[in-house]
Amino acid sequence: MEEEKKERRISVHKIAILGVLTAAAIVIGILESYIPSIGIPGVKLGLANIMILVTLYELGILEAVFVNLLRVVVVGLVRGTIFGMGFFMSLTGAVLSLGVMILFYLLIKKFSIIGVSVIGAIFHVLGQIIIAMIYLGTAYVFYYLPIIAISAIITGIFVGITANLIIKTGVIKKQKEKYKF
Amino acid sequence: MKTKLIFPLIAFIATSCTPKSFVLGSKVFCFDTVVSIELYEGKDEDVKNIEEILKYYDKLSDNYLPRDITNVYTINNTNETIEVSKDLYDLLKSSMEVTSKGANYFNLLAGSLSKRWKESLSQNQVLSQNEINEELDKLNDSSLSLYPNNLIKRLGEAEIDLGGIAKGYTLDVIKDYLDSKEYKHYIINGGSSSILLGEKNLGDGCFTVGMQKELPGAYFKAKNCFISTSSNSEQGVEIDGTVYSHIINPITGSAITNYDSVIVLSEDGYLGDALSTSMMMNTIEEIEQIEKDQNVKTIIVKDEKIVHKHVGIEVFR
Amino acid sequence: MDKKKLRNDIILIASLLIAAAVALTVILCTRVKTNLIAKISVQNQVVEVIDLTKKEDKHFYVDGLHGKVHVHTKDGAIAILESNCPHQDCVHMGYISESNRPIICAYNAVYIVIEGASSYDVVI
Repeated sequence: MEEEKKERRISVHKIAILGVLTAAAIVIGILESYIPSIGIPGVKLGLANIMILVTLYELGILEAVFVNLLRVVVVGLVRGTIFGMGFFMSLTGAVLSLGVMILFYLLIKKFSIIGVSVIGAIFHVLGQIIIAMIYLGTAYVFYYLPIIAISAIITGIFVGITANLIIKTGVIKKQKEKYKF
Repeated sequence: MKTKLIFPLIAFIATSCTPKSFVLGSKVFCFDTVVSIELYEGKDEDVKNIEEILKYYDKLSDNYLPRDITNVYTINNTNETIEVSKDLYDLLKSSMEVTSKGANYFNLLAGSLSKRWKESLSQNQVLSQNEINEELDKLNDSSLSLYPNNLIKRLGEAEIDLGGIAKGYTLDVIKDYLDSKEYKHYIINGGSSSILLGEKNLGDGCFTVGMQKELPGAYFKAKNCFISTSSNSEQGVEIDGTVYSHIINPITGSAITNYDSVIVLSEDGYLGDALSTSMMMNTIEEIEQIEKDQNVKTIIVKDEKIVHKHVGIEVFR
Repeated sequence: MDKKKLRNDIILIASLLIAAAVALTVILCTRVKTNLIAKISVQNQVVEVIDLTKKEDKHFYVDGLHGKVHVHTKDGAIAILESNCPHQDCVHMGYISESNRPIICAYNAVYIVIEGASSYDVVI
């Protein structure tokens, strides 16, 4: 019985932590959706990335993917935008941003969490803008790109610093050591 | 990484703020408007020569003031047989020929009818049928005859007004000059309503022509032709819901045209000009026939829609 | 934190900011100010074009995807005054009179952009 318990891959404690991080990401996502977007509707700051980054750095890649996707879907359901243009913008932004962040985290280890966060933020808005262009069918959205890029960079820095602070508090690290996951 | 980004950035800035390419130009006030000359090849001397051509024909076709040469004003103030210069003679001859070349609503003697409508509309008044009939009688009792050796005779009280053809005719003269110098790249813009287009020395050589006043946002491409435009959008006067044009039907005396704008692309400027005013009174069938007979292309606009367009022109929006 | 990584971060952020600043100045440079026309599109089809140089005061309604959108032009500027979209981003944008900022109402797929007619070689 004891050995079966040890062989179980996903520990309850891990699920609990993932739950907290996901919930936090969802709450941030919902609050963020009330902030009006500059110029191109639906382009969001990407503050939920704080939780995604923490998950990526502390718990792993698959876990981060899980939290990210769950966040996008639940926020879409709660705000009623699911399967609309805004939802697909969020989804593409989230997928692209996490994909690139994983790339940098795993392979290109030249940047700190702040750098990775900035790159993630850029690709997050890029993904959103690409979908906006497909839906609105025009390249004029490019005019807003510089302003949105600058705001993404600033958000990315903020997100990176915050995620780093959360990691530095060592809360999750303690849980990992205590429950060995 | 920083250096790798700087070079493409500089290239990007450089290409988007490029200086204008070589162009010789000038603007001349003539024919009651500003004619702009843009030569993409040639010398200052060529610009001067073109300016001279414009000023000369402006003098010649002037029906308001006497000038130092025999001009339209001179003719309008006499019923005697007089001798005119060959240039004036040829100009008058062309102006009379256009009626048999599809411009059946063009009458060079309709000057005073137009003037009277203009005065009336400037006071927001419509001419009464009596007043119109008065002018029509004057018109029908007048004539212009051309005799050999540059002799002409005007009979009656109607005045000659070459406003609807002089610019186009002058552009033809300018085109002959440019051809004699083998220049191909130019735009001579006669106040937007009569334009002589050469070709660009880029790509397919076509210029993009915007139809700002006739159909905002629409444009087409053209080269090596004359573009003559008549439009009510700027000079039309609306009284009690009806738009009255500055273009008058010389047969009925009416100032109401069938269309809002007529754009004619032609090989001859004088014909294009005459047709662009005359076609305002033609039916679409008549316009289609004239296009075939005279080898011209048109775009006809009414109520912010294209009601006819020659197949050879593609209008983009 | 690792000093080397931090240094790379700064280089990255600086380059991105420079790129964005350059792009912004390019866009501002290519702004067209004369002979402006406003193009209103619904679902990428141009439905109305207005000559802003006429400076007319006009109210009109455009049939958007989910309802009518109230558009107003005055003094050579154009704005969406009313729209039944949830976020009202398009209404908040206010009046635009320059060619580099489009008004977008995603909910109704209505899109207003200003273009310069002087981008033509010749205007008749």
